[in-house]
Order: sequence, then C-alpha cells, then structure tokens
Amino acid sequence: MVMVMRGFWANPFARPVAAGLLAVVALLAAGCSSPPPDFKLNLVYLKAEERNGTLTETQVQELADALEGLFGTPDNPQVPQLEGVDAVAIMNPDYLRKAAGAVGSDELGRAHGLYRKHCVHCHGVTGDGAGPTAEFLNPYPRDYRRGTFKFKSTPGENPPTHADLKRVLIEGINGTSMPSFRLLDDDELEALVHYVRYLAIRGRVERALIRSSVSELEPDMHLLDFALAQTDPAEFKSQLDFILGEVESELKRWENPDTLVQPVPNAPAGWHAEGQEAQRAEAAGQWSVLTTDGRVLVGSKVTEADGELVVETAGGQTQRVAVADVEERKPLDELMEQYIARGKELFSGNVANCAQCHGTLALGDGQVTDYDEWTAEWTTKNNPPINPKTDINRVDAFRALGALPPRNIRPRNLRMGIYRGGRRPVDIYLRIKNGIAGTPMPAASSKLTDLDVWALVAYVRSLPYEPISQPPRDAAFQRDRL
Amino acid sequence: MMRSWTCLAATAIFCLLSATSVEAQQWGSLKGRLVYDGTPPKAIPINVTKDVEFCGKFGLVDEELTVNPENAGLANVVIWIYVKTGDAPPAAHPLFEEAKGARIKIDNKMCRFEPHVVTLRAGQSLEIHNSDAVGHNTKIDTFVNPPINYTVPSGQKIEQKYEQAERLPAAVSCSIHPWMKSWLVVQDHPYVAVTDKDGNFELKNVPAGTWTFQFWQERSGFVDQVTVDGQATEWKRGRVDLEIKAGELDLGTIKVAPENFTD
Repeated sequence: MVMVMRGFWANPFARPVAAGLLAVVALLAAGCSSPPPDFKLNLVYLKAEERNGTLTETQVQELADALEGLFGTPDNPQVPQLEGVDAVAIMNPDYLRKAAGAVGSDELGRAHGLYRKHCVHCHGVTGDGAGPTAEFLNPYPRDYRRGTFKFKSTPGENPPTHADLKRVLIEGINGTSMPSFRLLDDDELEALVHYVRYLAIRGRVERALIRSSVSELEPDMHLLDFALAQTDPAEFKSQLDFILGEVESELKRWENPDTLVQPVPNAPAGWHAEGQEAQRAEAAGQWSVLTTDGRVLVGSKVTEADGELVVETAGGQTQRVAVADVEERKPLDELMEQYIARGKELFSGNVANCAQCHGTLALGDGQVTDYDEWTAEWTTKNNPPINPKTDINRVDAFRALGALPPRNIRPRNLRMGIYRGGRRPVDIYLRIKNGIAGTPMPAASSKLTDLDVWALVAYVRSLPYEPISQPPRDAAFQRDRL
Repeated sequence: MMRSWTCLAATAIFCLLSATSVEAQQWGSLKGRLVYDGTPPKAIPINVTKDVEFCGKFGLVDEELTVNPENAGLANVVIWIYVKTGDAPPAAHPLFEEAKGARIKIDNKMCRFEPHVVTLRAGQSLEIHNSDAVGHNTKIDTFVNPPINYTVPSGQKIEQKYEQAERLPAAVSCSIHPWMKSWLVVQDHPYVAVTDKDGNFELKNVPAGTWTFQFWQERSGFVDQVTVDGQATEWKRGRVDLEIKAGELDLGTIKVAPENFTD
C-alpha cells in the first residue's frame, strides 16, 4: 500500500506559509489517538488504465507525493499557485479551511470541518462517493473525482457554475439520498461549494497524471524525482512543468463556467408553469391569438376594433394585431394541449429519440442495461470490456480497490413526477437541451427547435397527470378501506 | 526490403535541423502488414436488442477483434508517430496542408459506425452523420477535448471540432444501441494509419528521421508482443523506433501474439 509522505519540507509547490504550525493545530484538533485522514489514491482508475501501462511502486508514490504537494491533505488543504490562473477565485483557501479538517467551531462559534460534518459519510474523505453509507444508497453518492456533475446549466462535460453547485446544496436532489442543506448559512454553503470544486479539481488532476504517466513513463523513469532538484535541476524542472501543465489546463476549465451557459429562450406564450390541472385553471377564460408570422398573443379579453384585434391582459396591458395577420384565435388551454400533443409526437419520433430509452409509455423501461460513466469506465468501457453480470472475478478485483458494486443506470420513469435536477420547466428544458453529463442521456439534436424542446417539456410535465400514471381508483379505495 | 531498427542519435539531430529548411527535407513512407499469430477467432454475432426490425437485418458482428479468416490479417490496429510530451510533432508534408481544417466523416450506418476507427489531426472537425432510418446518439469520451454526447436524428449530421491531440484513442459509442462502438484518434500531426481488413497499413510522406511508432488495438491496448522477422519481440507500450529515409520502409509481415488480446 502506498504511504503518503509527511513532513514534506522540500515541497516545491508549497508557498512558505506556516504549514508546519497548521499541521500541529490540525493534529491537536484531531486528537492523538487516531491518525489524521488521508486522501486515498484513485486505485480503481489506476487499474482501469492498466491496459495502457502500469506504474512502478516508486512512480505511484511519486504521484501521491505530487498530489499532496499540490493540494495538501484533508486536514490542511492547499491551493496550487500558478501564474496566469486565479486559483484562489476557484478554490478560496479560507473557505477550504472552513470546510476541511475535523468538526468543531472557533471561539466565535463559527463552524469548521463542515465537509466532515455534513458530507463525508456518503461522499467520503477523498470525495470518491464511497463513504461508509455509500454501498447502501441508491443511487450511489457522487464521486467528484471525474469532475462530472449532472444537474447544471453548462452543456456537456463542462464544469458546473457556482450557482449550479449551490442550488444542488440548497435544494437537495429529489428522488435520491441527497438532502437539502437550506438551513446552513450562506458562508457555510459557499465553503462547501469551494470544497467540492477543490475535491473535483484534485480528482481530475490525479486522473490526468495517472493517464499521462501510465502511457509515458518507462519503469526507470520518474514522475517527480526530488533527488534531481540537486543533481539535475533542468530535468527536475521539466518534470515539474509537466505536472503543473496538467494542473493549469484543469484550472483553466474552471475559470469561468458562467460564460458557457447558453441562455434558455423564454417559454412560448401561453405556456403554463404548472401541471395540467393548474394549466386548465389558469387558462380558464384566457385567449390566444396566433399570427401569420408565428407570434402568439395571450390575454383575458380579445376585442375587435378598426380592423385590429386588441388583446388585453388581466393587468390591463394591450397588444394589437391586424385582423389580416391573424392565423387563429382560440382558448388558451387548447394551445397548451397543442404543445403537449406536439411534445408527445416528438417523444416517440426519431429526431428527439426519447422513447428509445425512456420507453414508449415513458416508464423508463426502454434501455435498462446501460451503466453510468463512473461505472462504465472500469467495466463496459474497459479494455477488454468487463460484463459486470458475468465477469465476476474481474469485477471483484476492482471491488477490492474500492469500486462499488456495478448497478445499471435506469432512464427516468417520467410518470413519477420526480425530477432529480429540479421540477421547474427550465430544469427540464436544460436536461433535454444539454443532456445529462456522465449518463447515457444525450444532448438534443439541433434539429429540435426551441419550441420543440419546450413542447417536450410540456409533455414530460403533463405525464404524471395522465390517467395511466395514477393508481386505479378502486385500488386506492381498497387501500382506504384497509 | 529495406529495414532498419536502430535509432541513430545523429539522424535525429539531422532531422531536427532539417525541419527548419524545407528544401532539404526528405520524405519517406512506412508500410507493413499485421497478422494474428494463431487460429483466427470466429466473429461473434451481436445480439441486437434495439430496433430489431431495422438493425437486425445487417448480420452485425462484434468488431473488437477483427481478424480476416482467409489471411489472418488483423484489422483496425492504429499506428501513429508517438511524440513525447514537450517535443515538437513531426513536420507535416505540404500535401497535408489542404486537409488541415478539413471535416472528417463518421457515419452511423447499418447500426454500426463507419469507419470503425476515425483519425483526425488536431484542428480538424468530425462530421457525425446518420444514414440510418433509426435515430442514434453519438457519445465520444475524449480526455483532453470536451467529451460530447449528442442525438443524431435519422438523415442528419452534427459537427464537432477537435482542437487538441489526445494521447490515446477515445471511445465512440451510442447509448441507444449498446453494441455500437468505435474509436476516435486525434494527433497533432497527420501520421496516423489504421490497418485494413487484410492487416495492411501505410504511412506516407513521413519526414526523414528516426521516429517512435506506436501500435494500438482496442482490445489489447498497446500491441506489445509481436514476431518480426521470425523473432519474438516485445514492443514496450507498443512502441518501436524506426528510421525513415527517402523511399519506402517495408516492415513486412508482423505477427501479433494472441496473448495481446486475452483478459
């Protein structure tokens, strides 16, 4: 097993801070009976990459040392300092200290050790999603080390925005074991967001170093050989630059995820925010006017004057359109029904392709044998692939290194009305438009217009209200009788 | 048959110098044939579980290890010039200039990806088509470039640009049809070849000099146990140093040990 070197005086990454003093404080806080917790190496990934090459024990030790030099320890997190990237904005050391370390509070009653207080039981000290409770939860807690987050506003595998991460903390994740942390004060939430980013970045740098090391390093080569600092400074610098290069490209990804967010176009006029029943209530007495150039005007009152239709909202605002330009004029809930019908058609069609996985009835039964990326990368996407159901010995070899038992990822049953990424229309819009990173859910084709996506959102949100989604009436009656 | 397995430091230096003066640059090619050193394994039919009425009619087989039953030719081995991190990639022959920003096509066709291995030079774009009557999605797990996962409706195409080289081939898959798998190679030079159905490959217009060539296959990872000239050899991490001179370097038939492909 690999030991992480302590008392790392020759650490080339560390700034001359009072690291020693901090370590002493951390030791006192943790008590003397148990050793301070360590970040675990990503042995599962190291093994999954075996086909591309293996590392010697020395190289693995160097990897662990490099990571500790760059990111510190769970009790004493550090932020790698690089020119040209504002690492502190991404991982604020004050916040990291507040989130890290043992649970406690200072003399002013300000809590620290927040991660270990609130998160570690499920997400683990290393952020590997393999805390003590993990195996008993379904879905498993998130392993941050891929840097892949599902419920976010940025497309693809891009990092989530600050607001995305915070929203998950505040709202929790419906239908999973992730609770809401709404009761934490804002500073505490901020600290945890920074710490989750820190664990994700640390995990991704580790993966990048593993990936490059296994395919680059011959057994007699070094990832980072400190002896060279004296004997061959030029070679030492090139080793260091290589490592820092990986850190830099990772940090750059996180610099400003907000710029990657595509604005969500407004829902079409006449589009209601809540389920079908609410739609009907809200739409009662409302009218929609469709124009020949594709605009939709909505109001509670429509009158005709001087060859124009005057559409008046309940608030008294008016819009006018020439009668000649009016395509159609009808009650609003009919319009909403049209969106839902359009969504239903798209759902089973071969442009949106929803039914392929979610099933023709949207019960989530179309494709039930797939795996998420966290599992697939060491099983079905390994070389040669591991079938988790039959290659038991190979699965066990990974299990021994900390992998959780593989489970299939199920497409969402859309009739349940439970939406992990949030139930707001915009949440569902983003899931459809961008796909869900780390899962088989792809991003929508550009052949789907904004209106199409909104129509799908309308259909998806109407599904739990359809009769077949509801339990049969007499069954419910029997339950009542019992 | 011209053959040279030794790495000459002097040649490498010569090459570095000559890269700056175009007139002095000489170009050569490398060719060879990879065969499976054993009884060719039988193609394993795919159990089509999705869109059976469409995908079921193509007689799909698992392409993870494709050996020609007639001549043992090993298909879909990828060969590229390996460039150590920090080193400059080999100079591209002027003939490659035109294709620099080109769009390279991969097609979802008959419920498989065509080609099975698609190769790109950094800066080129991948055009992902769907010629099938059914919908597909294409998921590409790149490591350096942003990974993607898009639905590709029937008859449509999408485009993705690849700016950076990938150290290793990236898996391309379709979540709807789980058997569909292929590979994307992105290097920052044009010297990448894939063996054809008979195991043949050729890298043309390689700048003269000594280069490290890397051999990779999806099931084996790096191809490291080979027999060259009747001599069992280990190519560590699938790498071999070869000197390219003006003209053609023919490696002849390289036998690839079945042990490369075992679990």
